[in-house]
This record gives sequence, structure tokens and C-alpha cells, in this order.
Amino acid sequence: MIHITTIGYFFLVVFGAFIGLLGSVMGVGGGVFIVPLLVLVFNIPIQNAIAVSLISIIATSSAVASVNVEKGLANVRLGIVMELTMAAGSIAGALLMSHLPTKIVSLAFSIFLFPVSASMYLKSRKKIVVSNFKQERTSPIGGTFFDPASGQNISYKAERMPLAILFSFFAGALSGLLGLGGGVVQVPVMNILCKIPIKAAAATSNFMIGVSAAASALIFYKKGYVISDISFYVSLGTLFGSFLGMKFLYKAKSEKIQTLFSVLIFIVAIRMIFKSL
Amino acid sequence: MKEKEEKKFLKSIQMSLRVGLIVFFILSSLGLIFKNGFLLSYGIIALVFTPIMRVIMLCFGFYRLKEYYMALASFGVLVLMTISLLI
Repeated sequence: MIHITTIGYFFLVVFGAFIGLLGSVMGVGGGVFIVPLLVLVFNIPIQNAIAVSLISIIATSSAVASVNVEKGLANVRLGIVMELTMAAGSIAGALLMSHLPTKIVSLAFSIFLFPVSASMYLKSRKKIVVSNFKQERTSPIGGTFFDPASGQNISYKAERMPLAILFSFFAGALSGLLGLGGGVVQVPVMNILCKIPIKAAAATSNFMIGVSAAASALIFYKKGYVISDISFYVSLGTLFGSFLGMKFLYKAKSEKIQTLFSVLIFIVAIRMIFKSL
Repeated sequence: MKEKEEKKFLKSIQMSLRVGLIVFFILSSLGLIFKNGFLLSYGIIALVFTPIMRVIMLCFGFYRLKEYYMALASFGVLVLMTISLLI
């Protein structure tokens, strides 16, 4: 039986709001922060913490996507194509969880994150070149959105989709294995590999991570790991933070989001290396 | 015409997500107020099923827009989510 005081619940809502704000701006679910907090501060077993994290990821994803889909920031076509392999990876990850040594997976993942972080940081230092594609869409995987920060309509077309789809499987597998949404992989893949503007990449990632989190959450729910009241308070906070964060995402400068994301990936990589040693 | 249909399609996705969130919030809040564990759990279940509902709406939406490859991809995601439900 897990006992949490009223102040503890209040703290969960506030922390959830912070995670929701961060997640909606950067396209991640915040699992890398929620799981350690619940384990280290509230002494919640890791499986339960992962389950709570997955529930709050669904809340963030649904809230953010419900706004960004209409604004054209989240690309539903790109999202559904990548979700296909992401969902498959998510199931494979959840099934492999009991067979694969998690430490080796964590180590391999963290080593992969360093060049990604460096690449995103270097990209954020360069001046953003606004694509001036014609408004016609020759590829079904492309889109246009209005960016208030630059005051222009930005059009893009996704490149190297087969490779991105492959990485999406890997992102899904991480969701099942480690209880993450997978946004920490999806955003750099879409931004660096597919040349999708960071705001559209973050919004599309947020749109997708709900599916991988739901696929894993169903398995955790059936195993009885979901703690309903804690999940509610954390999700309540993330919902509030998500709606605040979306206003920020829409107005923020793209290069600042990229810098912030590269720092986040670096922190995640360091944390995972220590965890796997 | 195509633009109008696209807007309608995106609106239906938006609605499916918002309805899921509202149901989650109402059921879970009632569960906490009346100290009813079942209501609280149903709220969480509603939230977990929200992305699934969104995939169903995408599948129908793409079919109506005659984007059959996209409808097939959505159906594939739906099948995979059903598999995770059965595991």
C-alpha cells in the first residue's frame, strides 16, 4: 500500500504540470523524469512508476495533439506511417522486457544519444533557413504550418522515410522496454533525418507517443501495475502544463527548442549510462 | 472542397481526443470525490483508450478521403493495438 500525503499529491500535480510544459514544447512524454521521481522521492516500485509515467504520457499526447492537429503543426499522415512500426516496436519491447538485460539496452541507447545530442546542438547554432517550397504538396508526407516566430508559412516534405520508419520501430521498442514515450528518438529522427522543422517534429512526435504509450500501458494495466490515484494527479498536472506549453511552442524560436532538446538528450544519455553501469 | 473535407477530418480527430480527455477527467474526479475506485479506474481506462479512438477516427477519415494507403496504415496500427490488448 502506497501512502501519499495531501502535500505529496499537490507536489505530484505541480511536477506533472512542469513535465507537461516541457513535453508539449519538445515533443516528449517526460517519462525519463517521472519514473525516477516516483521511484526515488515516493518510493514507488519501478513497474508502477513506469505504468504511471505511461498514463501521463497519454494525457500529454492527447491534450497537445488535440490542439496541434488543427493548427497543422502535427502531421497526421507522417504520424500514422511512423506509428505503424512504432506500435510494432512497442509490443516487441514489452515482450522482450523480461528476456533482454535492460542494462545492455540502456547502455546501447545512451551511446546512441550522444551523437544525436551533438548534432542537434550544432544544428541549433546555424541560422534556420525557412523553406520556400510552393504551397502545392507533391508528396503525401509533407505539410505547411504558420510559424508566428518567423511570421511565415513553412512548407516541408519528409525525406528518407524508410530509414525514419526503421528508427520508429526502435523508438517503440524503447517505450515497451524502458517506459518512455519514444519522443526522445522520434524528434531528432524527424528533424535531422527527415528534415522536418523542429516545431512540426515536436508536435508530430507528441501526436504519436500516445499510441506507443497506450500499447504498453494496456499491458501494464492488465498486470495490475497502474496506481489510479497517483496516475490521475500526475496526469492532471501534465494536462495543465501541456496547454500552457503549447502557447509557448507556437511562439518560441525553433533554434531555442533545438538547443533545449540537445541538452535534454545529453542529460538523458548521462543518466542512462549511470543506470546501466 | 478537398480543403473543407480535410478540415472536417482534422476536427473529428481533435474531437475524439478531447472527448477522451473530458471523460477521463469527469470519471476520475467523481471517483476521487466519492472515493469510488471503480470510477477512478474507468477514468484511467478512458484515457488509455483515447489514442485507440483517435486511430479508429483516422482509419475512417482516410477511407472517406479515399487515401487508402493511409487508411490501411491506420488499420495496421489498430490491429497492433488490439494485439497488445490480447497479450
